[in-house]
Amino acid sequence: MNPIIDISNIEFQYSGAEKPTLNIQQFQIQKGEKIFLFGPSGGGKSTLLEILAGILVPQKGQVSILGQNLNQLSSVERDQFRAGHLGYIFQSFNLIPYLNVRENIELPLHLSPLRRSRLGDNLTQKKEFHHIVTALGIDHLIEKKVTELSVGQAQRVAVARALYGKPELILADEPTSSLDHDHREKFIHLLFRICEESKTTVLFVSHDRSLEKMFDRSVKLSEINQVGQS
Amino acid sequence: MIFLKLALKSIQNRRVSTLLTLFSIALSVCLLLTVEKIKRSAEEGFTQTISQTDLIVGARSGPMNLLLYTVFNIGSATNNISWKTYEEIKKHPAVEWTIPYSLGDGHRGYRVVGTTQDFFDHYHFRGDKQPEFQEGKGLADLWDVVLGAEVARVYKYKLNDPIVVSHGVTKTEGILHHDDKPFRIKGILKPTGTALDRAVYVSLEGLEALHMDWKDGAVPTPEQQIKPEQIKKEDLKVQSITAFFLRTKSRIETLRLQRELNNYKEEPLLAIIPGVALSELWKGLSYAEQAFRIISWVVVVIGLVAMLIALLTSLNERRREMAILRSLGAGTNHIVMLLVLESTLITFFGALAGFGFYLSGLLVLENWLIKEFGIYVNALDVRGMDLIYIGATLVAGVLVGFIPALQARLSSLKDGLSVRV
Repeated sequence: MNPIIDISNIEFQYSGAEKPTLNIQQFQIQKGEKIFLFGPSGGGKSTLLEILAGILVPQKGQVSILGQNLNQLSSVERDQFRAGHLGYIFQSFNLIPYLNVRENIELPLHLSPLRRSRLGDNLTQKKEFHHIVTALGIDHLIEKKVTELSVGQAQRVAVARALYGKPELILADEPTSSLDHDHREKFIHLLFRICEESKTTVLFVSHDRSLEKMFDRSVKLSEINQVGQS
Repeated sequence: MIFLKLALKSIQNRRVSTLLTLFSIALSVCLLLTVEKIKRSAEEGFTQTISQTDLIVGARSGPMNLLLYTVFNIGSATNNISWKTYEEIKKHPAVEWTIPYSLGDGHRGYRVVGTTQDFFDHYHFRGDKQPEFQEGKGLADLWDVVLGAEVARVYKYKLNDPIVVSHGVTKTEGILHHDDKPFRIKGILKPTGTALDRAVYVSLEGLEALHMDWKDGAVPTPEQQIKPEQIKKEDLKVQSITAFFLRTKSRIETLRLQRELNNYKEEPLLAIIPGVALSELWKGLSYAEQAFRIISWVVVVIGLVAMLIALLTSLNERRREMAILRSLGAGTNHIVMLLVLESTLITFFGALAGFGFYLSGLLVLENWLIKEFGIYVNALDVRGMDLIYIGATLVAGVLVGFIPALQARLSSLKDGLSVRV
């Protein structure tokens, strides 16, 4: 089985920085896995996510997602690839403030023809939308302004948006750090339940190891990152 | 078009600052169009003061002089044309009509023009417009007078008021009054926005009657004075006129007739084509309007700079929004497009509102402008030039929009997805 994420020999250094931030020999994630990646703040977790999202390009090495080598794509193609195959969840402030909940969730469908075509016709789109918002318990909020939501509700809207249109991979950058402990676990249960339905792969990044046990596999960034090891 | 929707929602979200920006652009566009309109109206009021007249004929002097004292009642004639010559030319086969025109006296700073019914029948301005009466009627009796709109308005004259004509034209009240022979106001013309508003019209005979008892340009002594009721229209013989307007039967005869009149054997005459002379004169007078136009363009620039500042200051708080869009698959070019769309929409609606202010303002003020300032504006007369100005503002708005857009692109490239706010 081909890995959904396949990184080999990458090295990334911010322009102006004295030493590289990341140097990863080998890192793979299989389809459907739920991976917990942890490490201290400033350790390069977000940088790795941005590389996987195709926002940053490593100076050396290969990054391949779903068998597609990102290095071979132009920046416009990488943007389209990200729009079609990846769902991204931030730590907080995930939502566009001037769109309501529904418009926020529907936004990726407007940006990606691929996500649209996966859902087929309007009716299927509506069904899927209804299914996701009901599963996440935000069906009563869809016409609300996003500024009226609680933090927990906003994060669930972010999950709905990341998943709408069935992307294969979810990248989550500390999405629970603004939630209290009880809500964190609930949030992750919810995320997993809905991801399992469509066999979506989840790469979850956090500095807080208390959630580690809920995942299939846990990876310590410093173990795969050669920078700072020597 | 998702980015159009995003841009609309985004500027809606920043309603207050957007409205202020939009308003400042609207005001500058409105000012620009108004200056242009007033300039055009002034030019038309000037060059269209007389129309359908093919030649103006006077005693030989300079063409500008002849134009100024006939059409604008400015300056004075050096010599007169004899009535005999006038009668002869009037009978010329190429002539359709003529309007005799005599100057010399004034009324409280306004010119008194001696003419005939021909003036009311044939004088045209602004294409096919003719002088019309707002009150009363034309010149029937010897002592009848018709007032231009401004004269009547300034001195609050009413029909049948008596009027005293002064000898010569002075800026204020005259010194020598023909107060032994008062006229009666029998008609008041509608405002035209031309020099017609600033003149007083009497019959040629009336003008002649005033000076009947004058000897060698001297005021008559009380014994010599002839009472007005002793003078009959039939007794008067018009000796000379200052100039006359002429219409040819066919336009192609104008040049030939002009040459013929300029070589007239009996008397030295000068014939000019008013349209050509008027345009030349206007070109020499249009410095001020250039200055106005420059000022209004500067105001447009200030409006656009206000938009630029508003957009640039909002960029920092929108970095997070850009990162979200990037995470959803928007490229940096999309970010540029979004911001350029926003500034384009603001300029577009600003320009549209400005055009609206301008049109509605003119419609409301149309009558007031012509009454108070003698400026004739036709609000609904939108010219290609107006659209070019609106278009130029739009293009400038789009170009200005690229500054914050490229700035956003730069910061978005730098931020990637990790903006800490």
